[in-house]
Amino acid sequence: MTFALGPVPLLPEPAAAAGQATTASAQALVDMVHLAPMMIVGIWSLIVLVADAFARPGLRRFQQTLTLLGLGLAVLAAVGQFGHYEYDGGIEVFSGFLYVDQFALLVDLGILGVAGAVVLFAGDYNRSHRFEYGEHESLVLIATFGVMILAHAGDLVALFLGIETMSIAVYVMVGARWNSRQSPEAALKYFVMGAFSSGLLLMGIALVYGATGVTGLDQLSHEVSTVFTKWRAAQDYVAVVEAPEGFPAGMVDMAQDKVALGIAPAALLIPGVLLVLGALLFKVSAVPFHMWTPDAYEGAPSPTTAFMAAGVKIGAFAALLKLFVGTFIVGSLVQAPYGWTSVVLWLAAATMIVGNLAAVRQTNVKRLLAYSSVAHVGYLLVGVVAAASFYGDRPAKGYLPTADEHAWASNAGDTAVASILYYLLAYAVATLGAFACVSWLGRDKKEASAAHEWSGLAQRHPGIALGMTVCLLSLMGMPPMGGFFGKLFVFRSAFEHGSEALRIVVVIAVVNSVIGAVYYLRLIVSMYFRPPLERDLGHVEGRGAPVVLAAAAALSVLIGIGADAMMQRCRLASAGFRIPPSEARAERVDELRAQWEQREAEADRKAAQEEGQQPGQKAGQQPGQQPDEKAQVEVPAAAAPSAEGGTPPAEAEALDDGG
Amino acid sequence: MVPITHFLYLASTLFVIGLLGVMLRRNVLIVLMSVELMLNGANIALVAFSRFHGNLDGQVLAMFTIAVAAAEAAVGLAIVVSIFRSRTGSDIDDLSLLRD
Repeated sequence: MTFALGPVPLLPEPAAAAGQATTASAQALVDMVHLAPMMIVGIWSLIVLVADAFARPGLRRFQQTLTLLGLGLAVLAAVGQFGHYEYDGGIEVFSGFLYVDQFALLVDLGILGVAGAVVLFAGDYNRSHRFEYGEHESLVLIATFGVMILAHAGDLVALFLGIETMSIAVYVMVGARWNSRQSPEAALKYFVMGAFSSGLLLMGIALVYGATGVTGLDQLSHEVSTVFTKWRAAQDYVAVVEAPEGFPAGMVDMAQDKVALGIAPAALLIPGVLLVLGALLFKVSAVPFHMWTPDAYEGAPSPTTAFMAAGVKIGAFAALLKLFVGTFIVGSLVQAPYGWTSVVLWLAAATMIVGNLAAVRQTNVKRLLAYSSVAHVGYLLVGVVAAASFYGDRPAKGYLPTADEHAWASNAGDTAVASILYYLLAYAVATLGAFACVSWLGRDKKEASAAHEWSGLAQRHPGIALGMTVCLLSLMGMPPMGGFFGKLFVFRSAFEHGSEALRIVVVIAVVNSVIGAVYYLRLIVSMYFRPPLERDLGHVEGRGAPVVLAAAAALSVLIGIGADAMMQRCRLASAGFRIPPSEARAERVDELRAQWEQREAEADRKAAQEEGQQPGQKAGQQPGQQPDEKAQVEVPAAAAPSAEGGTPPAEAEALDDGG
Repeated sequence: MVPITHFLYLASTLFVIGLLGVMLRRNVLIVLMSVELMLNGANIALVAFSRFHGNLDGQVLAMFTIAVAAAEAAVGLAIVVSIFRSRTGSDIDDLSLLRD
């Protein structure tokens, strides 16, 4: 193999370039409008950074308000976009570098909520622990921007840049607490592991690129199957190469070429995919790669821990879903013997077992929550494996699946992705509340995060203890809370797939949820039924953390009670999720919308009938009335802000009134 | 003409040296340098593949990686400096405040 290729055209012909320039810049403007939430966050991070240069120490609150304003604008833009028909099929922007689809928009809303909540209580925390620094808000916005790039990524380059943008900002936030010896240590541990995993990721991307010659996700999903077709075609020539006697020399040469060209891409692709998988498992902290998690979570300032536990996890799972559920969906790559699902399934089981067993013996609340987040990653990975198995099901040899079976598999895969999204959002809300509570306790450089310091908390601060209890119960998976329905949806999806291994792991997961109850309940019992400490450890001044905790507790319950409505939104996001963006995606979303409309119309009819049986006045107008399309669009959009952690604008106002 | 395999040998050698360096060496600065080696090994592979496939995607990613590696090195060294302020020595095993 040599470089026998012609010169690469670097620039278009001058004559053509002049005409293209104007249309290209116009197109870039249109693309920026489609990306409005992301653009606002990116630009705002710079505005906040510049504003900090002119801020006096007394004006820190202005910084916070300014950041919340920007996040509020971004939420408004994302709410306007999410659920809109235009994005049903996914739009390519910047020549396919990024996509705007319902999936990305839902993740945007989630991460914007997380960022808003973290900004709300981080300022008070930093002030109280005497390490206030002005770059904090800007760093949160940069990390948020990185997560949004991940959600929108349509290219491996975008994916790499998103992960790096997110991680580098978070490394700084972890190590920013200069008056503590733990914070830089946590930052170094996180940094070394993170940088190591980005090295793996980059090498993986290089190998995948080498195997396929493309980096765009939509082209990749096509090219990946070509790699395996070529590989299978080369198998016929392997016999000739292995036993060349009796064949003419020319044929042996040709066979050697065919084998080399057919096998080389697969030989590059499989290690490449595994390296990328390893790197992403590092980022989500799945088991063999989870060592950094408890140390980094414990040493980091609590608001930063909250961002890592909620925001970074959302970003890493968005990347995992994009690549492994959306792009590398080829039977050979998903299923045994070369597939990744069989490995990841058992890693998921190991992740929850290790996370839960380690959490049981923790005496520090932050470490306990860190291990509990590892356990949650295990549950989520079961969902990822289920989704990929549905999409990438390879039929038995000599059997062609019918159209019905095919439709069922894609439908079930969509539901699995929706369950993962639901679980992620429910988990993010609950974990944000829990860390808000952790950050509120303790003052003057001393965090009260040892478990024994929490005993009798309910007597001293009944409201805080109640909020924390609701969040912990949601994490545990108590029925009315969001965490329960998240587990229910994910496990049901996994169980629906007929594979035996998946069913065994679901049983392991259910047993693990019970083990998890031990340490959550122990903390709750200690808050309510133990006598309080003699000495009051004090708490952080300011209302940010209690507001976030209250909002998180309320949302945990709301997500649980309104599980149906919330799941409908996740379903909308996942129906249009699969890469590549195509007409088929939009059609699937249309089908879903039609179903919902029908269901709603039926519910209306039933309600009208019931009203008619009682002394009915309005009964006449209800039956047969078609819900108009506009209302259908507005409903998800209007309800969306309540679907993620904390709505920044309203809370910002509340805080401003206070301060 | 140098065949692509030679570039890949170089790239994978650099990558593996970096990988082993991160896992085996205990000095923080050497660990940081090893991470850089990993990234640069991947860069060489990207550029070689880019030339081989005749498109520029790999080279673009390599350019981005150089910028990202610089940012990462800046943050990493800043963290190391902030650790040196409170203790002496640069052995990664001495970092044992946070543990189970």
